[in-house]
Amino acid sequence: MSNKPNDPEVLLNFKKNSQWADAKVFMKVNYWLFICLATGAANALLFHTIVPPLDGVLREDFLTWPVGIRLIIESVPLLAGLLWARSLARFIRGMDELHRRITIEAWLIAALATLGFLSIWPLLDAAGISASVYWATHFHGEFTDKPHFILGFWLLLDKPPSIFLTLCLLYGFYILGYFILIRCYK
Amino acid sequence: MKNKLRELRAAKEWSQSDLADKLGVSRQTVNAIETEKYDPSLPLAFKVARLFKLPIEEIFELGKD
Repeated sequence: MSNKPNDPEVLLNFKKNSQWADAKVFMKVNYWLFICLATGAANALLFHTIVPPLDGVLREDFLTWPVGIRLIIESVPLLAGLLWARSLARFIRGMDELHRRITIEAWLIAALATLGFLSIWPLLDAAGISASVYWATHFHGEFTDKPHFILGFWLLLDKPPSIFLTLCLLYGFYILGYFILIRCYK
Repeated sequence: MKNKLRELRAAKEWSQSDLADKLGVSRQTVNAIETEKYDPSLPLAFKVARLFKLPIEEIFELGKD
């Protein structure tokens, strides 16, 4: 049996000598995250209008579907997110004590920062930040309702905040928090 | 908290990685303990003491603060 504790940098995949085994662990831990992101993005594209001024609102034809089906479709990313949290918690439990402490602190920072960002997002949106990003990510600022190859930027700033945006923010703040905290022990 | 981990490890001619493997922690943790940036938990301190066959207080010393 291997005595090696789990390495948190496998999750970030920034190791200098990253190996295939590391990639496998990364995929095993984040399997549900990818499902969550994929289903979240698919839901946003298929069932929500993403063109101003109705962005983030459910499409009218989708609203005619049975409520049970809609509920299931909308909760798939949430369930996948919860399963991801479970596999992440298991991975953290397998770390050594220093890494476990740093990782938990980094996730706490990430959770609070995400909560803070999502709380102020309606204010930023009201101040016109959201619309500015939308126009900046489209060709020559021309209005178009066709999907764009950098539509991802707009999806990130979807309103109301999607699970896709929440997880991207969470992971981004986690990476930032981890590197700030680990710096003290390098 | 002060400690003599570096001296003890050097006496055995172990690298930080060797010691980390024996203790079941990462090399980074061993380094952080040696440089006194991190105080180990009680179970880890006992593991260290058992590994070097010394009492805990001979390896770790509580500073004045």
